[in-house]
Amino acid sequence: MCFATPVYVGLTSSSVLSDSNKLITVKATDLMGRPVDVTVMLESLTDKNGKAVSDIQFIQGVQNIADNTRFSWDLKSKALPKGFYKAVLSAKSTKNDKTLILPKSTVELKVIGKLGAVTTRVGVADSDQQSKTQWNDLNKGQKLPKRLELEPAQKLVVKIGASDTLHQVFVLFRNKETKKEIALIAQPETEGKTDYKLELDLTLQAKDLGYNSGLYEVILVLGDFLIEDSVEWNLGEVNLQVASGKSKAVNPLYAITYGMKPEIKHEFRKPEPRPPRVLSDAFTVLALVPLLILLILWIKIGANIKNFPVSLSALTFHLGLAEHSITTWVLFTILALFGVYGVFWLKLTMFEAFKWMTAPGLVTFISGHRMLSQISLSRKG
Amino acid sequence: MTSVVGVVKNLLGAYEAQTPKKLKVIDAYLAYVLLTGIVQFVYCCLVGTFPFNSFLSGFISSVGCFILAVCLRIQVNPENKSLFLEISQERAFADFVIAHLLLHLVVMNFIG
Repeated sequence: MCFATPVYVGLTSSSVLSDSNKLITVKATDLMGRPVDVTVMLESLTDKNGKAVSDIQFIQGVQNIADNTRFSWDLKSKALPKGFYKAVLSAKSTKNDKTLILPKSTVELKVIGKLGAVTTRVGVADSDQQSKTQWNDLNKGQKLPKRLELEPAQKLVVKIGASDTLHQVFVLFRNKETKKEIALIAQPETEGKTDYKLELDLTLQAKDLGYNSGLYEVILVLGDFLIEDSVEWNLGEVNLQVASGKSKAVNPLYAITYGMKPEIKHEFRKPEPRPPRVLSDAFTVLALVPLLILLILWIKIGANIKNFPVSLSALTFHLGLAEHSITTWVLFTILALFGVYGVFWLKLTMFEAFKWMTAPGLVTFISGHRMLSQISLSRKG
Repeated sequence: MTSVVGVVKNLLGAYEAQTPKKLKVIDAYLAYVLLTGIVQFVYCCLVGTFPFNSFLSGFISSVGCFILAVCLRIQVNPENKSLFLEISQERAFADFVIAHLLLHLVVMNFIG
């Protein structure tokens, strides 16, 4: 083969090494993933500060029998402190093939481990620093020998001394009664050291505890990205008498509540109570009575209402009769218009009502005009 | 007291004797409309204005009819003839009818 073939060496195992698993596996192929005749060497392993691990130098990888592109190293026997490392790998042609391009590749590895020794001191101090702090020294897993009693003028001090730097050091106060938890962060006491300290002043920090006095469990949470076994360590119980105060009401929009929110129901406006049926019926009759009075008055005055068509037969008679027919038409069509109004009230829209009104409206207009001009003429003549 | 009765009697007698029949017919109509309006108002005072649009349209109908009838009466009255020379009685009546039709179209639209 006359073309040059670049060789790729990359990690196939996890980049995280722990005490139980320190096996590194890499794969050496060409760019298409086909096997090439090479061996792979672990040239060096350097930590974060650039310091090389002394007993790892040019170790030949063990070729996998089933898959000859894979090479592995088991670093079980090597002492590797927790931390981040860079491994330099190089491939070498077994047949001294000059067409192979063999660059060095760098792989990042992380070594994790167990949490080292941790000691905790729990103390009760006076806020005014007058008296000496009473300390309880606890080794990992131990609990306070007895419940600590604290008053508002005192503060609880938790000091953690660890052999490793810890990314997360929380002191969790869990109210025994309400099960509410308050997590506070222990800060590094001195820069660059692995000791942490938390002070809980029962007067100044009463707000953090929601002004809730009572029995609390103190739980230490220790975690780090280089530690396999994060710890949740119950330190025991403390009885905190917190300075009294009123916690700020939480906006219900932002309050975290578990469970269903109340259902939002739309409420229509309730109609106002109606009067009793008898009353409204009585007023319907009362409103119609003036009509009767009107008719009686008109008869008394002697208005010409004899020609009003009373029955259906009379109506047809009048519609046909020449003498009174126009007057009757006018009356009839006006009544028809008011009938349309009635239907409009009950079910029509205004535009539909206009359509319905065209025919009676036209007849009313024409016949009314004729009727009135006839009357006008007869009066003048 | 007797004088008041006498005055009223005089007034009624004069009205009977001097008012044309047409105006009496219109007066009867005015009385009718007035009574209807009063009945509606009394109902509203007693019960309340719950379907307010219905009450309003009924009452507006009464008030509108009253005003239109008063206008008709003024135009038809022979004593005002000099004022409405170019408006004949028939023209006034036609106006009255058309105005009523329009008024009640609005009333029906508003009644709900």
